[in-house]
Amino acid sequence: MKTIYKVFACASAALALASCSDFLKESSQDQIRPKNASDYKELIAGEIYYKMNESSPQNAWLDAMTDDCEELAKKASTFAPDKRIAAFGYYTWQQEPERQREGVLNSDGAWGLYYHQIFTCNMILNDVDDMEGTPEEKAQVKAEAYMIRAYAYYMLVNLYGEPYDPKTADKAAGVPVNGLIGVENKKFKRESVAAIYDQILTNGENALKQFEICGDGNSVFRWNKAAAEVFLSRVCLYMQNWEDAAKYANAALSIKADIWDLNQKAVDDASVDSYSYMDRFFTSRNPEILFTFGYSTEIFSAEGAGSCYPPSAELRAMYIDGDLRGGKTGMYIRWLGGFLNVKKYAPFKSYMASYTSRYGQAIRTVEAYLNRAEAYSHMDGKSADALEDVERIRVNRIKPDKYVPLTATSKEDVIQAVRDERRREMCFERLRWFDLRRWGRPSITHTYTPDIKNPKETETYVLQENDPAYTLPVPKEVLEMEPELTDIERPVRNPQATA
Amino acid sequence: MLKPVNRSRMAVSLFCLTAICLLIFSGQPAAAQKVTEKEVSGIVTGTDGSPEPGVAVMVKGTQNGTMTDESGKFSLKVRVISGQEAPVLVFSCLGKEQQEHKCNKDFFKIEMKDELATLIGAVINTGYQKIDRRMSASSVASVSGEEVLQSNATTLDNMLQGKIPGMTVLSSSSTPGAATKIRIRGTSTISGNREPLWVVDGVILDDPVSISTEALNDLDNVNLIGNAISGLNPMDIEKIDVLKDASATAIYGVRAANGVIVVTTKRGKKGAPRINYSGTVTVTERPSYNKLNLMNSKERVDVSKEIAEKGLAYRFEPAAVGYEGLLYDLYDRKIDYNTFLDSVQKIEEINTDWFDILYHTSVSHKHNLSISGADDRVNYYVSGAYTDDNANLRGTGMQTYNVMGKVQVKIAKKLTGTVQVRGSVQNKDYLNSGISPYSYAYNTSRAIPAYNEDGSLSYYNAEQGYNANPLKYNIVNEKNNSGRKVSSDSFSFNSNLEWGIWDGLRATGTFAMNVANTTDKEWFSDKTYMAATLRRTNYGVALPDNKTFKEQLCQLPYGGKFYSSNTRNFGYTARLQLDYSKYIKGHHISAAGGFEARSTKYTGLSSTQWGYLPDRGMTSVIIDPVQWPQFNKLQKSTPDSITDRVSNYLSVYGVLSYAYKGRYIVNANVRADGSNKFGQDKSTRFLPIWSVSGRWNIMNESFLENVMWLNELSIKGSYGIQGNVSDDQTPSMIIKLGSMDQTTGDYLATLSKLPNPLLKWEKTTSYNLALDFSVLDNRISGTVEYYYKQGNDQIVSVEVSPTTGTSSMSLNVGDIMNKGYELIINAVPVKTRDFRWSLSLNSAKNINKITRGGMQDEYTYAQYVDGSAVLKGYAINSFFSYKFAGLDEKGLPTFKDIEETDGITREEMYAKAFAYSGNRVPDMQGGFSTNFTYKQLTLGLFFSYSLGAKVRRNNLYNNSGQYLPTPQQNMSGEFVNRWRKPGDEAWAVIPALSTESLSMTGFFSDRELTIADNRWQMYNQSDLRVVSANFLRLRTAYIRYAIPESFCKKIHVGAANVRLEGNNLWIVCSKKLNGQDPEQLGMGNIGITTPPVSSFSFGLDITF
Repeated sequence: MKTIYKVFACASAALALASCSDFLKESSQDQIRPKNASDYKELIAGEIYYKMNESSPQNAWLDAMTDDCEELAKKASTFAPDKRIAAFGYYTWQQEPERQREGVLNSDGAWGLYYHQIFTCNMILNDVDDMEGTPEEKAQVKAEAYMIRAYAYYMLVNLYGEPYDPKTADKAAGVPVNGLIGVENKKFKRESVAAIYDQILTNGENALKQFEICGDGNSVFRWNKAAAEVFLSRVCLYMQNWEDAAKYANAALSIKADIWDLNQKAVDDASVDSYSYMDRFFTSRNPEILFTFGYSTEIFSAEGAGSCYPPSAELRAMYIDGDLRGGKTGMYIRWLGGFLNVKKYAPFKSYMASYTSRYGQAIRTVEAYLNRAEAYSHMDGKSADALEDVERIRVNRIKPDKYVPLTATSKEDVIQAVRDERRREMCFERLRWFDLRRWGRPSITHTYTPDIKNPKETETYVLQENDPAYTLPVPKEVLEMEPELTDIERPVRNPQATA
Repeated sequence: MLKPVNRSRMAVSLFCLTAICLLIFSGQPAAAQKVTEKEVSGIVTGTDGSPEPGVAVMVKGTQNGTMTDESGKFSLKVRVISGQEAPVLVFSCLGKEQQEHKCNKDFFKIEMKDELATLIGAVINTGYQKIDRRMSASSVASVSGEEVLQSNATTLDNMLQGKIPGMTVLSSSSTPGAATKIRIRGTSTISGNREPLWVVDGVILDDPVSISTEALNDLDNVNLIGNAISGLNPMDIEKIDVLKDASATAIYGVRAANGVIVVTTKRGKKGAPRINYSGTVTVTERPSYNKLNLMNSKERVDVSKEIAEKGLAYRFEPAAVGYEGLLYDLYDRKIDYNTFLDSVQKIEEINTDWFDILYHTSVSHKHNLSISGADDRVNYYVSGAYTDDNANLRGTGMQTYNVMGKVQVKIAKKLTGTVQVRGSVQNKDYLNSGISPYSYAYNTSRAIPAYNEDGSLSYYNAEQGYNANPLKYNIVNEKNNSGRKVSSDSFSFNSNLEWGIWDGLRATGTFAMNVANTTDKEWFSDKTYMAATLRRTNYGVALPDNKTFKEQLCQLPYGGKFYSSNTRNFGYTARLQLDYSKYIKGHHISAAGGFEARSTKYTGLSSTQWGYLPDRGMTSVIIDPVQWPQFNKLQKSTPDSITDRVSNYLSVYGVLSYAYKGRYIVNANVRADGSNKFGQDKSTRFLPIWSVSGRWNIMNESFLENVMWLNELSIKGSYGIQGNVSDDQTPSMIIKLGSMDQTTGDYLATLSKLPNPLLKWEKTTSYNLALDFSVLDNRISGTVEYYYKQGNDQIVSVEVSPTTGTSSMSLNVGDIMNKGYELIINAVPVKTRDFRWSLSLNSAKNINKITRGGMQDEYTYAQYVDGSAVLKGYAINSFFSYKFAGLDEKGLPTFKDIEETDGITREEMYAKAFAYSGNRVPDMQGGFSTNFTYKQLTLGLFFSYSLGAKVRRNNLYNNSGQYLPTPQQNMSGEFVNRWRKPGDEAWAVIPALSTESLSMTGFFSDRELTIADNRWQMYNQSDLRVVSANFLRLRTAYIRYAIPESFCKKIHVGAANVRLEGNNLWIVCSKKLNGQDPEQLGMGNIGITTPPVSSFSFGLDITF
């Protein structure tokens, strides 16, 4: 039979080569085998950025777990949905947060989403050198792929890995590392938290090297050098590596250092129709935005007049009179009394990208100042520098007639002042939960009203100090497939008996 | 893998052993007898007297033989042994009936009859070759076009059930134009297309609209658009050859793994031109309540009364209709008590006949006219047909126009050309697919009227709209203001030039093309309930001026919907083939080889137009998407899509066969294909597929020389390997180009296929063993076959952990086995001058099993209950049910083994909770026909039967959760025996009327693993509701009267006959089906087609 095979193979090959190469030329309406580095640029846009912008994985509810939220149990109209139900498991730190109030499983898609991004970038980075295109084009693709991978590991380890502590990081349970470049039904094991942070930094450093070749990048919709530097300074803060955190922040600010003066913005807004979405904070007019991506979550906003998890009184109280971020017409938190029938607060930072041309999340220059301030606050003799960075922000956020510089004296006070400013400035940008994880994991109390028709009966849930529930469980759909990925022991959490 | 090899080895060694023994036995030389040699000669002609060259003349049981020359003459020396019987001469030729004559004279004048006239299948047409059946070692079943004709069917695929052993035909319905699902020798692929390949006159036909594999494999999916042979007029079919084993299908390459159906169209017969007219009028019954066990008005009102008396509360406010409606009116003081009582009495007597409102007894007719004839040089066949198939469903039907012309001309002595054109136009009217008329009639209470007393339509409240205003429904209004039209026009051209180059060497060039345009239009207007649900208000009501309504509720403020899809399929085939055939002293060598290029292209556009106003000159309202943001979303969810796809195939193939003295035949086939399929691994192009087969014509052995009662006896066997390359096998990443993101201005591309370098070919190994026999002057003949097919490394889409970066991947983890036997027996028990009685039986058993792969925990409970889970150890399309454990003390259903224990995995839970119910596809299907002919009168009966399939009885509750029956819902008569009071659970199996949700998901069910939605759904899908779908159906019964020749002459007609035919007249099936048809689609949920009903036809056939 072998000879017959050969004869056929030869005949076929001859035939294919001689006359019919065009006839058998691969053809498809819309599919291509990537040939050019620019094909990968499109793939990154469509497979990664666009998909993050289109839907929201569970980690969109990160802020529901923090002290920045409280519940609003009210229903103004029959059509308003009760937005509390879906995030109930997160809001009350349940053992299985994926379960809604009624027990329905709300699968946590974040794990799958970020591993898919990692896998996609693995393949891109494996192939991109063989593609056509200029070195700059290839470097841009590589830089973005490295950054996406770095960000994905950062999210994964902070969602599902134990909090980073320099002393125990090499033993603490992190998340698996996926190095696949093709389809393979492999089983994984958790790496240490230190190993994952190493992945993040290595990828980040690689990205920075590529940005050297291709330039800083000028699209706010793609990872660029300035955003990468800000992100890496954040990662170093998490690792309590103050030197590097300051170094990366400086590098970021050397590229772009703009802060949007909200006092100036208020003047500008006179020309903007008050009903326009352009008066939001996350818009194309905001010069602070370095990189915008992701999706905004509606559970913190009472638009539509339903029950939700609006900003907490504690957070609202953080803003002094004259702070343009909070208060009645705040840019971040706004009193919407006249607009809707129910008076409540709603975050006003972000809105749908189709109106404001910026997505729900962003990496901003202001974070570089905050990161640097935090790094300085821990260094000896840098307290003044830390406060200077904080003031740089405050002066752009507070009405001039109300502005008074801070007067922190001790190192502890400076640290606290920086943390408070970070809380005010970065609220509802999915950073608070991660910050709480590294700032001593304090106890938090949330109340919940099971029946909105009976607002007097509420349930109280308490997250204990250093609670294991500061780490999310591996999503059920993943554990079912990989039971060997042992999970974090989260306690059962029932409402506390009211005294 | 080990088993089949052993088995085949055993079979082969057994075969050899028998052969050797027989040879030794027969080789015993006779003792001292006188041997003389004499010369015999003769002339062989055809029935028309023209000489027949190339007829083999053999002395039976010897190597001695010759062939007739150009003038049909032969001469041969024959050894005669004194004292023994004279030797026998065997005359055989391709396509002619074989003859045997005792050598008792010196000159023979032989007339060879066309074999087709006597025994269909004497010549096997593989599409590439015509082979004498006796020389073929492949498994091919043949049937004549006439044999399959069935008056009530308009397309070929609907006529084939029970006609071919080993071919299972599913989904029969009385909806015209609905394509069937066909499985040849079981299901041989897990993820690939399971339908066979259609070939008409040597050309592979494609479906007019390409349908996804998932939809084709889904047994509940109804294809109303039609398949590859929808455009072919069944009256133009001469014969059908079904290629079943690897040896027969290898020549078609990878695409033929599911079998090949080769259709040969008619050609002219020698003689004067014949004009034939045949016409049929068919009356189709409408479905009725007669056999169905459903409640009438009175019984239904009694149930409502009980609900009211018990004070059971509806979870949602029910429609104000029927008894409940009257009750509301009474409570609201709209009517007084006496009026209430009167009205209740009235509705108890309504007994609306929904079947009558939606269906009627319909009359269809078909007309076919053909002109054909042939002489020495020209052979022609031209036909035209018109079919008006009025469906029994009011307002639906199908009209078909067919033309065909075929001319074969002998241009020169060795050059023959054939040209064929075929055209067809099909217009089909259906109801909008949002309406399921049969299901509606079945499920709707007969206590609500369709019309008011004044004749206007009577509506009832079906759903809440804006501000709790109910939306109104009436099926007649719905039907009148919506619709679906599928029209297909197809044209095909087939030309062929045959050149006899040299002694035994022939070249054939073929060029064929076909084009098909299919338009599928579906719409509803603003007057329908379908539009009202999107609009949230009833038709004619002014839209509320309310912000919430505008911004959050109303999806379609004005007009209805118009969907249209146009697909054009253009394909061509070009082929060059060389055939060689040589006969040298008992050795017959034949070979064929060729190249084929085939291309098929689909182009199309499908789009949805919202705001459609059919009554206003078919215009559409332009709706402002800013003002109506929900409309904007709706519109975005139905984007236009353009299809533009070309598939090219380039193939080389070869056939080699060798026969020794007509006794031993060895055959080998090989084919390799290359295609332009995107993203394929280059190394898998031209993957060869091959087969070998052998046949032993025992009949031609010398030891059977004088056994005159035995007409035929032969054994054949084949072995072949087929490989299939999956679309998912790609060494590099494939991306799909998408649109542009408006916000960023970036072009978007997404991943289409991931590099999957570990994926291997799917490989199917097949074995076939068959015995053909014919005895007693061919009065009893038959075939027994056994086959075994093992598909290894089948590609299965497996769910994997998201940590890998993807949630599912294709892996070679499936093995699938098919084995079975097939049997055909034809007998003519009585044959006298005036009376003839013939019988024909075919039967086939298929055992299908997944031997590897199919992991239990990767499927949802829904896939377990609907039979789409592919599970190891079970056949494909096996389904499972919950184990009913009786009613509890409240009359609610309970089930065995559903408790969740600690640490139980999903796999264990499924294994525990589900009981295997059987297979949806029958493992045995066949047919039985008998004909009695007495002089001019013929009576024929054809039964088809199907065994081994299981089906669910129609659902008693809504699967999504039942609570109480809604006022507009009819209930099964089974409810009469429901649980009514404590203690009834001892005997009752029908649950009580209840308001319990019996939810199996959610917080209160306390379940980790979802095995069901609720216990009402579990009840529907419990083992209690599974019944056997075995049936024996009298598909066709006819009486034909041939008008006597003397009378025909008087009216100047060559021949004429009249025919009275009944279809689906009688069925034997399980009583538990309660009148439900065993072939009804949908597993308890009644689909959009109408089950088979009885029909009667009158036909007239005249030949001039």
